[in-house]
Amino acid sequence: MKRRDFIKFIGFISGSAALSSCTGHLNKNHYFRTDEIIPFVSPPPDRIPPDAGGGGEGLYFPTVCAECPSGCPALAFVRDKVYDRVHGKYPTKLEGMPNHPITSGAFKEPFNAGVLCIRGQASLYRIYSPERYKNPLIKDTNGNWREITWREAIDLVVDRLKEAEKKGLKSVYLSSRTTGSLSHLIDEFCREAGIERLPEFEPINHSAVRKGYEVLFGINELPVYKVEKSDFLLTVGADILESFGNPVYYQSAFAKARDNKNFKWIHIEPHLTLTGLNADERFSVEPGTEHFLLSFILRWIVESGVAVREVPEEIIQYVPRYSLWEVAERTGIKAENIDRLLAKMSRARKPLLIVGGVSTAHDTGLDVAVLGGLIQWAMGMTDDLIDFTYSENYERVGNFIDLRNFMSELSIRKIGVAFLSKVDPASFEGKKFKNLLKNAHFVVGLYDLPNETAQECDLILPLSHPIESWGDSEPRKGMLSVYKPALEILIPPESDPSNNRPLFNTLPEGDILITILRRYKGKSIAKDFKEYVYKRIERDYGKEVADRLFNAGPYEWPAFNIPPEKLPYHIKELPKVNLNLRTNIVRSLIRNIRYENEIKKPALVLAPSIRWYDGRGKNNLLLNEIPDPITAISYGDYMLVSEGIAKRFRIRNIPNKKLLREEVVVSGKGVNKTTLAHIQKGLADGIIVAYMGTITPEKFNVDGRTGELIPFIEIVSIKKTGKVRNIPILSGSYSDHDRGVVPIPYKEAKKEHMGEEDMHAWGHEAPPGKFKYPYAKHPFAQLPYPDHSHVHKTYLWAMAVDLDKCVGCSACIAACYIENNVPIAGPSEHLKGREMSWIRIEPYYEENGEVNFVLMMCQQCENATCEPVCPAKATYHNDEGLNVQVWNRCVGTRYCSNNCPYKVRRFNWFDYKWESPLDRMLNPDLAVRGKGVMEKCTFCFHRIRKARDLAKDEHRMIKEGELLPACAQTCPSGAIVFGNFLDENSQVYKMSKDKDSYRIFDLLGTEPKVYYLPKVRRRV
Amino acid sequence: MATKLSERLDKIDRDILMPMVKPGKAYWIALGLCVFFVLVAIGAWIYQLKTGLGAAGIRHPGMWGFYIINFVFWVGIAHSGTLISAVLLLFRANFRSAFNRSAEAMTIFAVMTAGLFPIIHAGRPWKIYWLFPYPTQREIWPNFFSPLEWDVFAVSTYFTISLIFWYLGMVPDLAIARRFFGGVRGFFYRLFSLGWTGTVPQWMHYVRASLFLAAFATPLVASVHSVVSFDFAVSIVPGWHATIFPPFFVAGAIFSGCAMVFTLVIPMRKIFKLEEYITIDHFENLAKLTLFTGLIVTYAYITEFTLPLYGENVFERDQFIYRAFGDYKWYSWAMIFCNSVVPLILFIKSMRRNLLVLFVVSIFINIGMWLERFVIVVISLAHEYEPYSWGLYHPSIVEILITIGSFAWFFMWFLLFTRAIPVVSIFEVKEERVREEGK
Repeated sequence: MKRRDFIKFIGFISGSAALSSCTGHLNKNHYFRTDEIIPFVSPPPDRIPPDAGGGGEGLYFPTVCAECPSGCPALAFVRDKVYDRVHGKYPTKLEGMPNHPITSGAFKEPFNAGVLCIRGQASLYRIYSPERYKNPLIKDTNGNWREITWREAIDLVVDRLKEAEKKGLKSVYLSSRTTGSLSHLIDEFCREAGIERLPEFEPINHSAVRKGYEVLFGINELPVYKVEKSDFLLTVGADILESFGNPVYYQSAFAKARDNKNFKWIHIEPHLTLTGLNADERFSVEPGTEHFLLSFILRWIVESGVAVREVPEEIIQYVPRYSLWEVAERTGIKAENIDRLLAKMSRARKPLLIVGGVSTAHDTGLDVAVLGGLIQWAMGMTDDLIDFTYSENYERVGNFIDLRNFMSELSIRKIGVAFLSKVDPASFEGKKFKNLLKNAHFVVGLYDLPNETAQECDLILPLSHPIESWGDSEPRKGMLSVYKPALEILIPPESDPSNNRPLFNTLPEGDILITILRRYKGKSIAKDFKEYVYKRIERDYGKEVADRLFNAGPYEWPAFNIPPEKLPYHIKELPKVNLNLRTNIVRSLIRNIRYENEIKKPALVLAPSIRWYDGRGKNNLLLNEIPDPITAISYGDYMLVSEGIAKRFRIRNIPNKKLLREEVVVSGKGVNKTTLAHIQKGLADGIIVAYMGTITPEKFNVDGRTGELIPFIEIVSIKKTGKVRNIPILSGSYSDHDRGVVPIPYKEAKKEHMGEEDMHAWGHEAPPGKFKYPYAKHPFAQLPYPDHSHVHKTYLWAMAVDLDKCVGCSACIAACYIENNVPIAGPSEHLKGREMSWIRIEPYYEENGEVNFVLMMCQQCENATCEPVCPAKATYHNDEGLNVQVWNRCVGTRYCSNNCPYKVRRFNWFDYKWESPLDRMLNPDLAVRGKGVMEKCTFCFHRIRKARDLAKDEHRMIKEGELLPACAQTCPSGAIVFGNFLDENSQVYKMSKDKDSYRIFDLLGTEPKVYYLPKVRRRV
Repeated sequence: MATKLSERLDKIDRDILMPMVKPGKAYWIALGLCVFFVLVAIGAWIYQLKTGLGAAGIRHPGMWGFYIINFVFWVGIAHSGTLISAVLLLFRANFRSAFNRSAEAMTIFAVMTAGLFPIIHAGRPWKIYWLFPYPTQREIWPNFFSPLEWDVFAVSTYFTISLIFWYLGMVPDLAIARRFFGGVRGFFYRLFSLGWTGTVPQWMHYVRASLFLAAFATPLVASVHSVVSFDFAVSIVPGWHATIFPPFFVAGAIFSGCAMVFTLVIPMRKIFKLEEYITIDHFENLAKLTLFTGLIVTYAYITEFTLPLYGENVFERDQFIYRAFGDYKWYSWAMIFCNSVVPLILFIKSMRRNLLVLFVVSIFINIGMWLERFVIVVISLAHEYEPYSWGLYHPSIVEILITIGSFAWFFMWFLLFTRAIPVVSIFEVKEERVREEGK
């Protein structure tokens, strides 16, 4: 071959090869064509640059958290991913809305991010749940579900509505708590279609508290309690960290209040909650006797002159004169404790009382609420600490009486079409409700996930999650925030966003209602829900606000420090609500208070929990995977049993079998449940706690005045079945055995840790400060590790955890799971101790039942013991002080885990699977680890890298406040502080130099880079 | 003596080579069982490879379990082989000649068994070659600080030396076997006897080489198990982090190795009718060694338990209290019974000379030494620093099958060895015999 021919030949071959590589693979079954070249120099609006090899970008889209009725505004971190060859916008993480009064957290300048609770962080598992309704479903005559199209489904609903109209049957609409435009739309829909809108159903509806304020001031609302402004907090039954009002807000407010060293908190409750465990002091009260205490306090503040307002004599005359001893006897709270409480209350500059929760949920609940409200009013708390202006927007929420009215209506006459939207009354009213529902002609369920009630519907209209839709919410009055679709599957052409569709064949509730109305009455109130929302906001807030909110976002990473005017929320100036005491009504109520106690012990208390709320969290995978902070139990049903009951019924925790619990049958009025008994330290005698979602009583009482569910169920017998079963208790010990994980306060320091002997042992004087660390490092200890601090030139990442603020809410754990693609191990693996969480809350109980939560994650030791023992060098120390784990290099000898004193390393025992579509929420910034490798917390290394890149582009260093790991970002308490230890102005550096700061197992010389500030019990 | 010396020496050849010719039915059954269990274990391992290590019972915090126990156990077993052949050669202890061949074979097979376990144990066995320092384009070296890396070298060196030593020791015997076998077997004997003719210069070189290798192997006896003990001693795990570990482990290894020699040789002697060559005196001498090392081990236990009890380190103290009275207390007490109480019977001379007693004691010691590794590995990990992370380890069926398989694997090789190689060193027996007669 000639040279020229050869070159021609080569040219032809390479040219044709290049050309052929340009032709795209066109598959008619897919929307996406690979030959479509998309320039991302100026990407289409709302389009995210795709992830390319881990260096991709994401954007934050405004959304709302729909895991519980609180409706916290949130930001969804959205990535562009391709599944089945179709591009989509997939949220991989939720964060709270920065700067928003509810979700701004308790950060200190310059940190400014948004926070969410454990349920909010875990709600991605709801959105991507494989269980979700994917198509409209119709139940056929055999009770089987059959998929139909939306057109068929809507036609069916319209037909049935028409039928009902013809027959003269009433149709009803029962929804859970809705706010904002959706609530307006439901109103309009019901009005236009002639449907009766029932009061919204929420199991936790605070109706007693609201009713109490209605009696007092004529306002049926749940106000916002400004805990952060108070210096003494007395909570009676109000579980502000779990289910009372908005827990995210209250946790932040508590943490802010904690900054005031004089702030003290007493919690009074009949059972045991996370809230109570976090109070400085927790008094157990006999259930149903709170009104004794409150009437005593009321009379006392009036007579001692602590009250700033004069309570009308006509009211106070009906408040009985109990002596301190009588009250102490009735309530079961020691007289000296009540005395101290009153003394503190009179001394405090800004005392705050909150009543609620189980303390207002019994026959005298309304009395408790009214007495509490009177104290609040008389002490002047209602002037500045209790905000009725921007209240929690609970007006529309009904209660169990409303539900029972609906049920009796169902039993009396035929209902036409019943719309049930995201409610689950069947999990409370059980079979009774299910049977009555059959009396409705046609039941339309609007649900995203199956639950007990949804199973009873005739037609399921699958709902899009708010994260997939346009909408707005008003979690508090006058606080409007707009959300837009963050999860969308992008259907070409890109320029037309109306093609985009949600994850499944679902529709938002608003759109469904607009369509039904259009087809039913021929009336088009709006093109779609988006337009409806816009018009509604334009009407109520003005065009300027509507335009601004609709155009707000998306935001670039890391979405800190966004000025409020750029954020998709608006707070309307509302006139301050004035409170006028309705003396006559109050008087008649106070006069009629019966000073008796109806609740008999032993009693079972049906309580909400931090994970499952009212039970709805039970079908969220992640909320089961993360252990309950009180018991460290993850999966399974169990009841908390007081030590007294355990003694009486001879229930015990089997020695040496840490995971075994005895099976008992708890039977009482309306309850007959076989469950496991977990003996809970600190729980008041005679009380059994069952978390909502674990049992459905056949029968329970409802308070006739307030409509609150009475969660106390009298127990007739507790029988042991003789069986023992395993339950995943992730804690190996509920005590720290004085090993220095929790420092010992000096006052209570045990003798053996004090005095000369101790000094002799450690050769130095006891460390300064209030706390004693039995195993602090000897200041002159020579450790066999070379000093390598000189390698850290620019950054030395460190963390400080303020255990005084940490309440054990576990939001950090959920955030870590989502951020770092930590797999769900499942119950059987939990029994083997193979949970995969990188961060955990460890409850360590004191003898007196008080608990210390310790947040444990990789301590990024400077002299890490895991590093030298790895034969493959898969874990090493980097020059920013991080203890880096290279998954790809790991051969899986697991020596590092053995040698880790903190036991924070997790091993991939299997190839963990994320069942589709759960895989779509995986964070592309870091790999999903395969089987056989070790993994652990890296302080969100990928975030550090991103921040470093951003800083590098601007030729500067990462500034304080620019970077937060996922756990710190979502901590509503602001208890986790992260920063550069080399910067002496950084918060983490200052906290590490606090006189009380300590490091766990400092003695070992591992030089951990996580500093802890101890929990300070502020004795009143 | 009626017969001539040469005839008597020929009888030795015939007696010792006999098992290689005619294996009985029992042999085939035993071999069949071993192969079966090895296959079962391979099946279990394949299952574990497929599912991941979750198939085993290891868990958080007990990240090491049966596999590491077996590794340490088999390395320990391997020890006495080298000790008997090399150290006793240097000390001119003549009773070694009865045991050295089978003890060395035991060493080889035990190391072969032990060497499997780090691989089975690893999360990603297919990447295990990363532990060897090989030149790569990525320029990543293994971490020479890691005791596990030291293990790689210690065990592989040990295996190499042991193999060479063993092979060198059998060259004259292979030359004898060469005379008895033809065909393929004969070919291999001829090949591996390396042209040995037994000339004086050959013997001179041979003895010199043996001595040299013995000197070379002797430090390994101390080093290998010391290095294995570093896997534990170098860590900060309470119960592991102890300076006593290297001598303790070496003594324990010799102890368990001697016991395994009893376990193997007593039946072998009976089955192959080698009473004439492996005498009661030999056993008694070995029993003394066993008793001695057993006492060292007991002393180590006492030290191990008492030091933390009067020390200041609460983690160590709790660890040993937990060992004695915690979740796994029966394992600890069983270990002490097997290793410290049962061998005391060997103080009685008649017991030392009773083969049945020796056999039973050896079984106890084997179990006890296995339990010792269980106690060290499992109990220490179950009760470390952080109380939240305390947890119990229970083996899964996969681990149990693989453990059984490892014994089957070891015995399989040993059975094959009895067929292929003279189980007693013929030339050394002859040497001893001639020396005795010359007196």
